[in-house]
Amino acid sequence: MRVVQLDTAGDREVAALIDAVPAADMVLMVATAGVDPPAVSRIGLACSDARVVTTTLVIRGPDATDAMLARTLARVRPWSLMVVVAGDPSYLDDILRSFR
Amino acid sequence: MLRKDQNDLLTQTGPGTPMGRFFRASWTPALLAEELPDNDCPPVRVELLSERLIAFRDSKGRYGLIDEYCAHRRVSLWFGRNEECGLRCPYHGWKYDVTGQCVDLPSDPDGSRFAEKIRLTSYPLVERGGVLWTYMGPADRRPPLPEWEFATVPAAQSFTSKRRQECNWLQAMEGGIDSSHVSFLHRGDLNSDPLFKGARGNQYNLNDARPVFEVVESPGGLHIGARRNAEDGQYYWRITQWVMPSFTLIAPRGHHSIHGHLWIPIDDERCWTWSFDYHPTRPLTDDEVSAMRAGKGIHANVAPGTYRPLANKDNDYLMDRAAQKAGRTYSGVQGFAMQDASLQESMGPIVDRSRETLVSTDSGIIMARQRLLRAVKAMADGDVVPPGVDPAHQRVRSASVLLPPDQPFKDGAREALIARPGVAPATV
Repeated sequence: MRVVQLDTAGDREVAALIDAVPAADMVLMVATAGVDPPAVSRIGLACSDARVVTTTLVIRGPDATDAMLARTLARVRPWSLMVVVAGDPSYLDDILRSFR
Repeated sequence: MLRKDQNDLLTQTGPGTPMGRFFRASWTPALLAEELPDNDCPPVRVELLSERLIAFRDSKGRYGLIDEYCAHRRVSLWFGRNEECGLRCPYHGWKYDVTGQCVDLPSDPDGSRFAEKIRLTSYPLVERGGVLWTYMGPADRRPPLPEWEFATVPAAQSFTSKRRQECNWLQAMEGGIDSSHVSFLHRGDLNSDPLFKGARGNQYNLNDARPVFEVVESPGGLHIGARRNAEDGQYYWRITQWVMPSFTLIAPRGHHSIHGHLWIPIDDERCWTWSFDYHPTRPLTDDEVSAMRAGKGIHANVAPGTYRPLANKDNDYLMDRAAQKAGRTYSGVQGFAMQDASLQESMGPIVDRSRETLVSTDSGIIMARQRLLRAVKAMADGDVVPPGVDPAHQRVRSASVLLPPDQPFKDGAREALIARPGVAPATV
């Protein structure tokens, strides 16, 4: 499985991830509510072409409004087979440990 | 997957266990009211959370749930004589009232007060919605009576059944929040079961076998949204409620009643599956109730008294391979309830979650386990009331809605996910 933090991923990291997609079982994308990550469509398209499953974890911090969450969900939803919205970033470790 | 210690933490519910303490924090369904139909009727054995109890209804109609065994020589009070406001052990005549207090000890001389020192464990037992609920936690933490909508609507609008399931509660409950299996396991029944067929939403299910899921934390547990393509670029959302520890409410279909479950541990290897159907704004029809009694929908045909399903592991769930091959049922087992139970029981009494291979569509189950682990840990660390106890967490609805593609379901269905008396459900 490959994991990418959409908030902070630079072009080089995204390019490396896209190169690794064909060999991946799943790509887990992580975004913070309110962020409008431009890389999600590039990654999503690469995963779609390679038939690799995508899951996105959206962390909704205590200050995130409904509008902020809606904006991020609208961006990630078209490229995610599964979306999880959680209030606590530590769920990321739990999710990673749950998958082999 | 879960480590063994995490699996043990969530699956062990006996006295003194953390998950047992979680279950004991809420009112728990113990019996159907029909099991104690009259004053002084025969007592009924009740096994809950690895405790063996006896339920009875005394001469004045008061319900009692007490330790199964007489304090004297540990005879089962199932043999007890229910008479004159108490349950009398037939061995030596010791008698107990509904609070477990020994009120007569015939072998002692008149005027002896020894009986006052004898009191069996007892729990309150109250009727709400045709169900007898008990609370097995500390007396000073007793919460308000349950506010689940199926238990608070008028009797004519609700139907509840129960069945014994031969596996741990958690693997049964996880089936209730796993929307992805519906398009496979229950495929043959969506358009034939009288309590499911005819809804416009069914067509979206059948046309789109790969729904996309969104799992969102809620105050009591999780909202699990399954999204399928609909016409005009819209999305068809089915939103399931999960409230901790084991309440689920499935999204409605068309005009049908809303249904859901509670899974209550008998012990670590068996559970009660409580299944209910209700409608918030109309009585159930005679045909609907007949179908439910006949084991249609989420209900099962069970043996009277034991509530064991007639299709069970001893008869291979009446497996019909011809029906499986012909596509009438996907697994060869008839009916939603036993289609689920057969597979969940086949995992073993307590499934070994260290050997799973989870995939993306299991994220709802993953989140539910993590929510439970956090809640159990929080209870162990401090004096907290776990999610699901607050009546506000129980006044919830499920929903099925059509929404534009850029609208989160939690926004678009916000009002529909709260139970409001007299307000029709959101359904497609």
